[in-house]
Amino acid sequence: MSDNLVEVRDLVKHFPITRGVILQRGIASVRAVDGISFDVRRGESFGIVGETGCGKTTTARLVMRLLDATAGTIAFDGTNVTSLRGRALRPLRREVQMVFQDPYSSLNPRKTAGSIIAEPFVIHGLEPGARRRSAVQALMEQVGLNPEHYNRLPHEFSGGQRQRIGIARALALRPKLVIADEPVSALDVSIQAQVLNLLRDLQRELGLTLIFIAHDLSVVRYMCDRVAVMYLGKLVEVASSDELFAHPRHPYTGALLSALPVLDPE
Amino acid sequence: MTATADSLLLDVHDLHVEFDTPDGTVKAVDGISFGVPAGTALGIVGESGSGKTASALTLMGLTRRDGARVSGAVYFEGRDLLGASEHELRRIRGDQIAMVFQDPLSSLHPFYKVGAQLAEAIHAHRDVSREAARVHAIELLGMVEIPDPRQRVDAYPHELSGGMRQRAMIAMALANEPRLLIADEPTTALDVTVQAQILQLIRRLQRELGMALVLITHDLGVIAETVDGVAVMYAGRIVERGPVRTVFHAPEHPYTWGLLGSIPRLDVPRERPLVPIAGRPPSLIAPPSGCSFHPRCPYVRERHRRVDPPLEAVPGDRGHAVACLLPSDQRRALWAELRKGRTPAAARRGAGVEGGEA
Repeated sequence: MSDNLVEVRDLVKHFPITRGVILQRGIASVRAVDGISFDVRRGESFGIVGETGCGKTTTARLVMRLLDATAGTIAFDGTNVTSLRGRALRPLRREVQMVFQDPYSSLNPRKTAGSIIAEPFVIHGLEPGARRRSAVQALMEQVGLNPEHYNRLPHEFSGGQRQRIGIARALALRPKLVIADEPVSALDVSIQAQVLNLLRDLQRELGLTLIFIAHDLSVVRYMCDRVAVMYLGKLVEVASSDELFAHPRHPYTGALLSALPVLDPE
Repeated sequence: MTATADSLLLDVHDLHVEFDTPDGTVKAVDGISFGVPAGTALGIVGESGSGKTASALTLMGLTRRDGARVSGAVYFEGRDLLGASEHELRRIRGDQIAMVFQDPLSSLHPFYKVGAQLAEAIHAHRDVSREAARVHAIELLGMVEIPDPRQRVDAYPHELSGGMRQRAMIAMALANEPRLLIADEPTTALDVTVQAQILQLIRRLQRELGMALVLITHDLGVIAETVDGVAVMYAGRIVERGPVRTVFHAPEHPYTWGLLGSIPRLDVPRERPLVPIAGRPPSLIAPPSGCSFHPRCPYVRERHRRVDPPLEAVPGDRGHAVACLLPSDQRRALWAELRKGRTPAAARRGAGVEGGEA
């Protein structure tokens, strides 16, 4: 078994820009991801940081296989998954889970917290019968939700609690990889810290492999062992957190660091 | 902050703003007082629902149509803004007091060229020719460091990037050389590198034009870099107020400690865990009894559930005020422990402070 859970090589994703309605002619393309390579080691927390439009979310969607790559390869757990389709994708769908940015739009408002968290079990036909409810309640407990709130609807929870529901859903199938895309940027400061601590503790306790995507460098430093800095579809620097923040090598990393507001009015 | 009342440009006294909703009356702003001396910058920091935006909108008379019940007093250069007629307010707004909002795309009209919108802001308060307004618009765009202002004056908002649009909004706010600029989360929608440029721009213009600034934000980092004084808001109240250095280096309110402990920072070891504030912000319809922070406060005592703390000057520092029932010496001892990275429980033990029976 290789040390790397995810291996990405020369990954490219171009979105065509078309003109015309019926006969759409491609006139150019947006090079959202433009030839990136990185490895994510088993059990580590790997950060991807960059500004709006740098391609970090596209990268996550490619690794999730929610988008098809234009070129390059993605290997997950030793298997090339770049061009798997249909049923062949099912194992990947189980082993990779995602936590989304917006806890308001990522939960179905008509479903109870319990049935949202149980949905992965339903889809994959796991934990049948009475076991399902206790499995869900154990998950709720694990992410710091009150298991008695099983039958509540999303609007009865605060933003931070909704994000916990999203995390419980992501953990339901004991995935090998969790991708969290800006999981705290929609939350208030005091709630952000609660969710960050929860994710950090879960990642360490469960030995999860985490890809953590954010625009905030200080959040990425807190959460991640290694960090990739992305700019205009390319990775400009990949280094351990300690190394990257102490000695940024790429000028863009330096620029990002110096732009960060410092909590010290000197 | 030591300025006397008559030298204050903006003087807010015991401001209350309430909204009626089907669920009950929301006390968005629950008795706040602050003053802004001419040419200085005040930051108002708080989380969503703390009342910071409702306060700012009320200063500008913009909550009037929402059926808000407003009481208290707001004086701008000695004039009463709350009692002013809509006609008087319209002459002040955009002229002597200007505002910049969070989202630059929805604050600009998509159909009109940037220059035309700037000219409109000028014409609203000044009787100048079209040519003069256009020349002034170009000057303003240059002042906010938009490259090629002669060309950009004819651009539509969608042709500008987010940062450029926010610069255009700032240009519009500055069109009539206001004495006070209210900026409500001006950089929240922007990337960090752009945010840094915009903050630098606001700071430079504020100093060069001798304008006062009220900067509203949830981001303590933005506050630290931009303002002279800070007011920390929680549940419609100001819970701590003081010079920016004091509030960051010697804060005395447990909520301020909580905010500072919740933010990952680059200058502490990675392994030191964040110390979040427990629970969540209170309902503004049925606020907690006593100190509104007591349900989340790790240092709460029985009395704090009943007694509502006033905002009082810290002993020995008239410029620094805190609304907390803990004695000041205990607050200082607790902060001395917390700043070493201790948890609230450890800090209580270290400082020899009882309590925490919540």
